[in-house]
Amino acid sequence: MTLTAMDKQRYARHLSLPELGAAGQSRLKNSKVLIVGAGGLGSPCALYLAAAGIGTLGLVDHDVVDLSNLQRQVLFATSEIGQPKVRAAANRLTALNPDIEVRPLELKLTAENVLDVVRDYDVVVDGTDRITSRYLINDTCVILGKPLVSAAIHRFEGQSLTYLPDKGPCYRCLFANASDAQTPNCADAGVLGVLPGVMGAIQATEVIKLVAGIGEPSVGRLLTYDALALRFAEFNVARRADCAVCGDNPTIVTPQDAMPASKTTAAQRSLISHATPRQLRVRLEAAKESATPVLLIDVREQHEFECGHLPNSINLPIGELGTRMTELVATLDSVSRGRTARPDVVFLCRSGGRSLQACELAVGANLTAVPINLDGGLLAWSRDVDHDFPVAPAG
Amino acid sequence: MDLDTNYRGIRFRMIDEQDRIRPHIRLFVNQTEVVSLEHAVSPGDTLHLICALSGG
Repeated sequence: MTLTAMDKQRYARHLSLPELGAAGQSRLKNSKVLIVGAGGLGSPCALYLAAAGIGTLGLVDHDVVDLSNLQRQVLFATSEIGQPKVRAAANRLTALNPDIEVRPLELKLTAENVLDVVRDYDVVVDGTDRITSRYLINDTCVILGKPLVSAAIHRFEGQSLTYLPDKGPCYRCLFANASDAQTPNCADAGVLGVLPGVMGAIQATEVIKLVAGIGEPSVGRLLTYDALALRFAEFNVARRADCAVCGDNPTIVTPQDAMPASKTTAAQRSLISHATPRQLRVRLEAAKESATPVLLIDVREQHEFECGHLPNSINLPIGELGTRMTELVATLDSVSRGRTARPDVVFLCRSGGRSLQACELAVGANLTAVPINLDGGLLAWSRDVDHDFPVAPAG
Repeated sequence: MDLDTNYRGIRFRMIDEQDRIRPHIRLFVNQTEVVSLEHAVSPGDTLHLICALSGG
């Protein structure tokens, strides 16, 4: 598609830039960009990309507009509270630029649908608010070979990194295995309303450069922004040869949801043992004089673990267990070394639910030990064995 | 430098039970990533602790 007379008027300030010109503007017009998340980052990014004349703009979100969004999500009006975000966004973006196609995609990205959603676009923008979504989008972009412009925000600080296939590190090279439990969200920690404006505009800048083929994208350079100090910094990030998705021997070859639904069968579940707190106390006492050690795996989140944990227990949050199972096997091997008996592996959490999930994961991973669940968890331990044991609130 | 003396508990937030940097934390000395806790720092170096952010 070539530029119309109306286009030449609308984009006159772009056409005056020799770096962009009519050729660059035509590239924008013929491009398809997908923005995942119509929130703090997605709002300014979508507005600028629509204004810039990106021909097709896909917008993914499954949420509705809330009053608390309006402090930073500049796509929406007070009158739109309660409306699906992507529909309100489509109205706003179309009003801004009726010459572009806006595709409101009211859905949640999952391992099942993400390939079909992303496949049709040239560039993807990650403006989501969950680490699990970040991995899903990153892995999909690596698998499909799509450029990805990521950014994230927290209180007064922002980060951004651009991924270009075969040109630099991906998000997983930067953070191999983070979980949402380790990273406070905006609802809990708060966020300066204008912060995503800065970071979302940076994402839009990167997209325009990538599509037009100009400038130098932030590939392999993690950009951080400190709004309080008004300071940007850059850090060199290298592609990791052992990256699970873009490394030399990738283990992630199709998109995966963070915590796949348990696929353990009844027969496999029968391989899980159970212990009451009193039985565990007896077992721990016996282990002091026995050849069979006990390995205690506390699958609560780190902050819960810090509030109080059983002596010698190892913290492996449930969200990380799936990807750290090999580490657990290695620990098991090292504890077993020089002993005739394999250790008992006891999974424990606050009330016994997460640890049962962990046991199922362990069975599914063919852990070479029978996993034992501490039934009732540390709450039961505190009730039945040690009344002074501090148990952190869940979450 | 003893961060954990000045900021109690910060070590555990960054380093796991196996003495490894937690996977949601990256350490940079100046602009360069450091993967070993044995990395020596020189006078004038700046240590940056970068944590994965999820907000959007």
